[in-house]
Amino acid sequence: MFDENAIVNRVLNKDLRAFELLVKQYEQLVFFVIHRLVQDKQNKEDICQEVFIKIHQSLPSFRFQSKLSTWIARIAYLTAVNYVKSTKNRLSHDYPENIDNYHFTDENPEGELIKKNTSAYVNHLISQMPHHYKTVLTLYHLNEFSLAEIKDITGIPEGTAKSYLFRARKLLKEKIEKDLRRENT
Amino acid sequence: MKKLNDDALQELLSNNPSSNEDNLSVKDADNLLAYQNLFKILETEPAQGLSFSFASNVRRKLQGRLNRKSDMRFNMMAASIFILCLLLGYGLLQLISQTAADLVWSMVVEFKWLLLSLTCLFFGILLTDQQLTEREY
Repeated sequence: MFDENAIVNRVLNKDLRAFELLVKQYEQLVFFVIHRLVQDKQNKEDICQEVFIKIHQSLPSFRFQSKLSTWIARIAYLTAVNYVKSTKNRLSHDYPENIDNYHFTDENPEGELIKKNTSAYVNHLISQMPHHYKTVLTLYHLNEFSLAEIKDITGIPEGTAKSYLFRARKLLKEKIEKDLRRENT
Repeated sequence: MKKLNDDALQELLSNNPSSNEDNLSVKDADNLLAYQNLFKILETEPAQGLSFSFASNVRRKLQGRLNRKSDMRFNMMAASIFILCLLLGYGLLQLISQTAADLVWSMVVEFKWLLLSLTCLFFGILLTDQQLTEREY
């Protein structure tokens, strides 16, 4: 079993093997966050590496006030947000100021191509959403964090995170239904 | 028959993912099923992932950075000790023989550019060596 206290103490004592174990334990968590928030396919692995280097540098300041996974997810989230800001990601500027008014743009060729694979299509739709929606969907469904933990990770209040989550799922459901209806007619 | 809106249906599924309420209207039951399918898809892990050697790559990269950091610390310490020794030697020489100390000082002033160039060359070689070592990692 993974004993996070023991591993953290070993890492603090400069044991790099222990850090490798920590990376193996949390690499999926970090990848899910980076994968959803960063569009740049080439750099995802490099950004994940950067996240773990930051984790190693900041570990002495970790005081076990939250779960280690929550703390790691926060570093991954902030790294992804900074990366998106620094690369001036095209999509981040296309959202309406009030993201509650967000709706999917009708069609694009890429969407048409992957519609047959529902899972890939949903991921494609998610990639078009504002980053707050993507973040809460990923943290809640893939990383299985609670709304309280999402608040600790992103700083989004619980109520707002819940409303983003519900709204994002409703948007996805409606879009898929609309596409299915269109296909059947 | 219960009439539920989207939020209520999502709440129902969040509390009980395998929810299958018989007392729902046909429309609500369809919506519930649509949400159940969506939840399943949302929980599906992405097809692509990190490489199998990701953890060891991170360890190697980190090891490289730590080595560089400790090399840098060592070099700085060595340079400080060297400078300190020179100053100490000059101080001692001044105590032993003022003339010899003046001679050394005049030599240093005369060849200052050569000495400065040699020092820069030494640190340049150290930095290049570190960068080459980093690339190998």
